[in-house]
Amino acid sequence: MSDAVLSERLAQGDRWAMEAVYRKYVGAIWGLALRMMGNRAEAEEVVQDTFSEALHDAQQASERRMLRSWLIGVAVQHARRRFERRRWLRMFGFDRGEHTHRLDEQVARSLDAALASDLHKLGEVLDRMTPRKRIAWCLRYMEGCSVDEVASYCGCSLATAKRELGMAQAVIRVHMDIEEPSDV
Amino acid sequence: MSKLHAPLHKLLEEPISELQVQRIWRQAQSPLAPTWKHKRLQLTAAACVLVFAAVAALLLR
Repeated sequence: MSDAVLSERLAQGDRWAMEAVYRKYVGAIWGLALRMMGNRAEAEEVVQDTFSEALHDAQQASERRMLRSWLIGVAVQHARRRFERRRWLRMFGFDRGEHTHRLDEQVARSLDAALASDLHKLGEVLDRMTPRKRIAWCLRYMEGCSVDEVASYCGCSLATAKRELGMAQAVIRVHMDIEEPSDV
Repeated sequence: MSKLHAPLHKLLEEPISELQVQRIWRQAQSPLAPTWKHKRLQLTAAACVLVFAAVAALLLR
């Protein structure tokens, strides 16, 4: 069923449409949340918060024909709030390392040790970035979003998105070599 | 050092289990599930109470 039909039925409070939207996009939002947050517990909370908010705001769904983009935008906002919270916890010494970004744990076990080591290092570098840079970088280099999409999901201007991406990529390049994604 | 090819999502793909799908759905549709608006309201209320308590403590000293 198309997003246009689903969003119309969602706006009418149709419970079947709510579950259909959830089933259609939960896998995509889970993948995005897991790659951004770097741990399963927080990724699950981001997915829950995203759909919880989407269900509460279902009446506005008819204005959002692109359900996927809308849900990604909501998930990005929740991820950002969690990153900000992590920063505060870290600042006051309450973070016991359970929020560490462990990319190497998410990859298939068959991958070679060098790649696993690079991904481990990447997780550490991402952990030290500010939430804005980290999210922008993840959207561009992990999810393959265009710079326009990064700006839209982050709720900033194109110039700001480019600047954040440039600064984040400069930090990453010091530690590893990552090929620039081709624009969608 | 190996060269990583962006986008990395194919390398970092982890499917969600049916158990998780059902659990998240139950929690998300619960009327008690706090949305970020509720959480922000709670935080603002907590901050107001703290400021009020601090001012009261200063005045009563």
